[in-house]
Formats: sequence, structure tokens, C-alpha cells
Amino acid sequence: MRWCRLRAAPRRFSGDDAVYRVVLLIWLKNKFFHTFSGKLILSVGSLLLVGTIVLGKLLLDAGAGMVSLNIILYFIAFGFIFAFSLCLALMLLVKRPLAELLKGINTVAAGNLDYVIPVKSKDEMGELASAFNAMTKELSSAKSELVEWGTTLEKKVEEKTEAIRRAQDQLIHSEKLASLGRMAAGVAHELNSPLTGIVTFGHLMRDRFPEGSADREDIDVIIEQANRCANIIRGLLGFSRASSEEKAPANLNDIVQASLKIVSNKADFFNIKVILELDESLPDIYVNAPQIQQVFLNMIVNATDAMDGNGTLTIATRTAEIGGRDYMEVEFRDTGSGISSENIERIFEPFFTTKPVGKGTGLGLAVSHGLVKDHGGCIRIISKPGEGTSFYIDFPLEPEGASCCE
Amino acid sequence: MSKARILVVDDEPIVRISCRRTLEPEGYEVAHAENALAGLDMLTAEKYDIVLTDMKMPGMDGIEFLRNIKMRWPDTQVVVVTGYQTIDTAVLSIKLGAYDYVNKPFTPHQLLDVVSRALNRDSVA
Repeated sequence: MRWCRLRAAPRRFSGDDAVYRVVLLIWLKNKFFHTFSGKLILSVGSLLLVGTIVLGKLLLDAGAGMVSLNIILYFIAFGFIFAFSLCLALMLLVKRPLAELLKGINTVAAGNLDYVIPVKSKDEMGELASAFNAMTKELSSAKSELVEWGTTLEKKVEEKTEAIRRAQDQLIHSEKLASLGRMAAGVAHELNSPLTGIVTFGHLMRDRFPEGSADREDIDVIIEQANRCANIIRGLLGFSRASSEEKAPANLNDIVQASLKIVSNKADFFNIKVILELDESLPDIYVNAPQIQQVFLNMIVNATDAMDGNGTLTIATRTAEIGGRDYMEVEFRDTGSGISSENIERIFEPFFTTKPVGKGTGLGLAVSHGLVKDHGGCIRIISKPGEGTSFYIDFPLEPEGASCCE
Repeated sequence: MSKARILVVDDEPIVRISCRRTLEPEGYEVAHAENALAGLDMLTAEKYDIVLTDMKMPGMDGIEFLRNIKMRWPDTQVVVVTGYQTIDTAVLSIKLGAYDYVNKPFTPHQLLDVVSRALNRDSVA
């Protein structure tokens, strides 16, 4: 039946009609084949078809009667079948693998580097797919390496940024301190003159009243308080290092005793139990005794505050060896609230205080630190929050060389 | 013996007055100037036994003033009175020939003590 129809078709239509129809068909089909492989297959197929038909028609026109129509029709039918098979083969061998490759490329391009194109053959297409898979794998490892580098770099940048920020803070801080020091010195200078007036006229006035009179005692209070102001100013100048005095041999045990004597009458100190563990064999040392007494007083006042006026203060003196050098060590151990590690880091910063407003200036430890360092010594702190704090002050027996803090 | 003559040079009136009120009852003759140039004029005009001078003053400072005095009137004793004492300026002022220095705020006793010591040294010399 099929054969009859085939045979009948060319009889109903002229050869020209057939050519146009095929070309139209190709044109229409072409609309649906956008891919390269599709166009390739169609072009090859249609070329073959058109070639067969044109050849058939030429044969028909040229040798009409010489070649039978049937042979020409066979020839054309064979041409059809050949073109169709070729198209099919091209479809299977080129279009599908190419489509798979394209899908793979699109998936990888979309960011999925884990996609693997199935390799079905060992021909060029298969090789291409393998090469593509290998490339994807390379790309994947390169990308993860890059990501890793990126993370490391980010971390490094973060660390550096933090370091720079800290350095900048430090700089701003020291800048602030320098200007505060200048200001303190300026204020000290300005205040000392009016204080001179208060002290002088206080004395002049006091001398007008008889010894032991109530008026004289009142004026003594004025003079005393003016002197206290002068001491505060001296403290500020001590902070800005504008004041310095000479060193002489002294015994640290004596300075400890003298410092305790000063605070013993203070109400804050009444409920503090003091334990002394003084090494009596401690040799004399070249120090500025008033300055060291100021340091010790500071330690005692801080310990008292840390214990809220109730607890045990142990003061011990001993000789110690740190880093191969001999030191004289004074330890102030309290049973107070302790200091958190972040506060320990800032404890020697001027104006840093955890005490309530009006109670601490934040200068005590900063000044103490400076004074001890001037003696080539250092202050170390060991603290357990909630249990207490130990301040160790170490003075080198041989003051030459770097301090033990460095 | 005539009264010892003391010149107080300080830009702060209260310091000048304090010195005068401390020293005059003890029999000293006290004059004062508010800056170093005025002080030099007064020294040129009259002789003073002791000059009490501030360190930090507008215009010529205490060190320069001290240098001038020691160059032109080597016999005049200079006591540096300052509220801004650093060890460096103290050492420098003694090196330049100052007799001693007093820190502000000083008590009348401290001032009288240093003045009488300076005068005694003067009389010995």
C-alpha cells in the first residue's frame, strides 16, 4: 500500500511542486531547530533530499524515455531513506551529546560545579564530556581554594584592622594623656598662686589670735585644707612628671610601717585586719621614701576599698629572683572583690577607676606605676574575682638595667 | 644695719602681696614688679639684696631674668619662687646662680627661712 502511494504521488504533482514543497517543509522545520546541531542535521538532510530530487528531475528532463520513471522513483525513494537515516544518525551521535554538554555547561555556569556530564561513548564526544568534567573538577577545587583564601584574607584583614584600631586608640589615649598632663601642669601653676595667698593670709590671721583659742583652731582648718589642695596639685604634677626628688637608702619595712600608721586612724580602716609578714633581714635600698610611701598608701587604700572596709590585708616583704635578677618584693594581699581580667588590662591607665564618683580619681595606680618604674621596679597583679587581689611591687637590688616589667 | 631690700617679681598680685605682708613685719623693705622687664628697670634704678622671682611669667621668663640679674648684679641673691617646679628648671636655676628655690604654696615660715638664709650667705660672702 505504502509503495503504491509513493508511486502515485509524483504522478499527481509535477517535479517542481515537489521541490517547493520540500523546501517549504525544510523552511518550516527550520523554525523549530535553533540549535547548531539541529541546523546541521537539517541542512545535511535537506541538501541530500534536494540533491536527489534535482538529480532525479534532471535525469527525467535530459533522458526522457531513456531511463524508466520507475528507476528514477526508486532513486528518489532511496535518497529519502538515505537522508532520513543520516539525519537520525547525526541526531544520535551529535545532537544528543551536544545537548547534554550544553545542559552541563549551563548548570556549571549557574554555579553548580558538582555537576558531572554522563560519558556514554569513547569517541570525540565522550572525550569532550570527560574533558569538560575534568575542567569542572579543576574549577571546583580552584573555587574552594579561592573561597578558603578569601576567608583567610578576611580574617587577616579583620585582625589587622583590629590591631590598627587598637594602636589608634592607644595613640588617641596617649595624646589625651599628654594634653591632660599639660592641662594639669597649667592648672597646678594657676592654683598654686591663689593657694599661696590663702596659706599666707591664713598664717597672718592666725597669729593675731592667742595660742589655743577657738578662732586660731578654725583658721588652722583653713590652712590645713589649703595644704591639702596643694597636695592634690602635687599629685597631679606627679602624674605629669613635673616633680622629682632625690633617692636615699631606706628600708622598705619601715616605709610599710609608716604608711600603715597614716591610715590606722581612718574610719575606713577600723574593721580591716592587718597581717604583717615582714622579712626583717631585708637590706636598705636606694629609693625616694616619700614617693614609695605614696605608692604603699595607694595600695593600702585600694585594698581597703576593695574589701569595702571589712577583711584581711596581708603585707609581706621578701627578696625574690625574677629573670635572674634579685628584687625586693612587697606584697599587698587583700580578701576583697578582686579585679576582672579586662579591668586588670586597664588598671594603670590614668583616670581609669571603678570606684564611685568622688571617691577615686583614677590617678592612684597610674602615678604609683610611674613612681615604681622610676625606681626600675614594677607592679604585678594576681587577682581572682570574688576572692581577692595580690599586688606585688618589685624593686631591683641593682637599679641599673631595664625594669622587670619590660 | 640698714633694712635688707627685697624685690618680688611675679605676675600674680596675690603672690606679691603675700610676700610683702610676710616680709615687711619682719623688717624687710619690699618692692615688687609684675614682670621681669619692670624688675630689671627697678634693679637698674636701685640696689636690692634679694630678688624673689616667679619662673613662668609673660614676656621674659624667670630663667632669662635670673641670667640677666647674675650678669649685671652678681651680688644680688635670687630665690626662685614657682608653682610649676620641675627638677630640670630647679637644677638649671641653681646652675645659673640662684640661691635656692621655694615651691608655691609656701608658708610664711618657709619664705622667711629662705630669705634669712640668703641674707646670711650674702653677709658671709
